[in-house]
Amino acid sequence: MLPSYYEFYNPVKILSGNKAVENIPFELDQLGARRPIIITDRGVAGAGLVRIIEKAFADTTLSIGAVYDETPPDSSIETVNTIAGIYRKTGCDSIIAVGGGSAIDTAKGVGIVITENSEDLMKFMGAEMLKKTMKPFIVVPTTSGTGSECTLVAVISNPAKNVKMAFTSYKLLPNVAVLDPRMTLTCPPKITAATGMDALTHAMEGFYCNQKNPMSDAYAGAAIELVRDNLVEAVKNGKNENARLAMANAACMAGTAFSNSMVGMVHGLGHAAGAVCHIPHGIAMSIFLPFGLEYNSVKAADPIGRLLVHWGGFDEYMKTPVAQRPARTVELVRAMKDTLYGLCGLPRTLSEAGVPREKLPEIAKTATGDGSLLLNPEELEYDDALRVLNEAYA
Amino acid sequence: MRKRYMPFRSGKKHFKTFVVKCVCFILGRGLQAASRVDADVRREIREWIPEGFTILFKVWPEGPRLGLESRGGMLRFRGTSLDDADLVIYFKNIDNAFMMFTAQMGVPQAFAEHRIFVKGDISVSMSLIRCLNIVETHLFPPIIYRRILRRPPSMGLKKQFCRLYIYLVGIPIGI
Ligand SMILES: NC(=O)c1ccc[n+]([C@@H]2O[C@H](COP(=O)([O-])OP(=O)(O)OC[C@H]3O[C@@H](n4cnc5c(N)ncnc54)[C@H](O)[C@@H]3O)[C@@H](O)[C@H]2O)c1
Ligand SMILES: [Fe+2]
Repeated sequence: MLPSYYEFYNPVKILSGNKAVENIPFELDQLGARRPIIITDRGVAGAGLVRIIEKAFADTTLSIGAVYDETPPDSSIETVNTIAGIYRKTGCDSIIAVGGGSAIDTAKGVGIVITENSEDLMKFMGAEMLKKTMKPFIVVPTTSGTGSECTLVAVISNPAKNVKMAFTSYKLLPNVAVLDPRMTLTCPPKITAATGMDALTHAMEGFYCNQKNPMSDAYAGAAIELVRDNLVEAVKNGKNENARLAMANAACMAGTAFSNSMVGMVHGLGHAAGAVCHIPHGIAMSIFLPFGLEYNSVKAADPIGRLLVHWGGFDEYMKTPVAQRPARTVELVRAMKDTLYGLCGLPRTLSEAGVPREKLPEIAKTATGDGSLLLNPEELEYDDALRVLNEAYA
Repeated sequence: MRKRYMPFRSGKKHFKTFVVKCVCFILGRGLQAASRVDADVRREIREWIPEGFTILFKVWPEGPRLGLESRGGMLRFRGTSLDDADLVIYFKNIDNAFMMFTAQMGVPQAFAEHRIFVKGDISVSMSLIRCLNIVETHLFPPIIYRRILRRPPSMGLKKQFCRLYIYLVGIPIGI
């Protein structure tokens, strides 16, 4: 059934596959830029991935203005302002983000500061507060998870005020996303598994939450099938370029899906668990996803049942009676969690992730302030959140 | 005859604007009264909405508006006096505001359909939405609020008292 009204927007040009990175200078030129700053982190630079980008500029008339490789995990306002200073001092005119969600969201923050010419990011919190067009912005994801290369969201923390600031604006969508299999080959198994579950969560929540629409469904369904067929292989055999590229596509498509059909309580609980106990985003997603599916199985029985065709395959879908499809979907997601636990020790519960039990009330309270609860099919209040957290604990 | 081209004037939607302005008044005073007598609303304000925080509902770009300010643990109705606020909830046009204010559509659906957007801290707006949901159960009969709330509450005796207070004192007198 069509929603009574929906909107969909994805202007990102996708470059996917063999030697995609080598096309970056040409794309920059098309965008009218000559001097990008590269924003990345130590882990990514240490894996030699920035070298690949730098080499792509050989024999061109473009030059890299600066490389900032000290992005901390989870983006913060100080880093953003530091990088904006470097950008101005070195006369850059465009941004290339190379990394996972942390580097990409930091780069989005830098884009806001430079474009609006204001160090006070707080002013732009919320939706559609950005009016000016951003500087040319290219993203090279090195994890296959956040899909931030195709989303309108940036989450940046303000440690001084102890808040996570959320920005949503179509202006935050990059111009180009570069999916090159070489860029994720070095991603360690556990990060591959966690980020892959993040991508799966984007696709599944996008598929059953209240903003779903035919366009987002198409992206979400395809992303789920790619994860189903490639995640385990990418974790087992990180050097498999086909599996890596497939996962990069999955994350990117899942990002497109949730950028247009926002996620729900799994992210609400995950953001809260991340804020209170600093568990990595993907691990939180993996822990909470089956609970989110279960919790919404009444209100969203139809889409959750239909997830089975994408996640379990056609045979599985046909042989499961309609009424049992939601429960079967949950079972098969749990099965994936067990497989990943066996392969790389990806935590399945909050206790395995090292969350102290006495933190659960604080996580529940924080979750009730998360915007993603708004689009969750079922209402989630403090008591409900606490109940789910307790179930997810052991 | 050559057709003559001139700037076109779209006029005004007087009826919808009038209705939205009325509901702004009722909702503003309703929220204010609920923040005095309803324990759940009071708890929301205590936990999430800091002293001095200002809230504005506004029809984009310069349409009807409804201002509130958090003072002494209550939400004070500020009428149309605020131009900007710490938290601004915009309706993209008067039709969207009309649809929501005549209970044809709840907040989650309006948000899902991009009919409203928020400037400011999302966590405060989540709390405000819970307050709105509660006030809706006071202002509207069950047949209406059951349709727009994801989880309609059961209304005990205390809630019935809140409703009476809001209708008999809160809205007419404004305390
Ligand atoms: N904006 C969005 O749409 C969106 C969506 C989901 C999550 N997020 C945010 O993204 C962040 C998480 O991002 P993430 O999960 O991608 O993790 P991340 O960016 O924090 O990276 C995790 C670690 O992996 C390392 N790494 C990354 N790629 C590597 C590679 N190819 N080889 C070797 N090491 C590599 C990094 O150095 C880092 O230490 C969170 O802050 C989350 O809030 C944003
Ligand atoms: Fe995510």
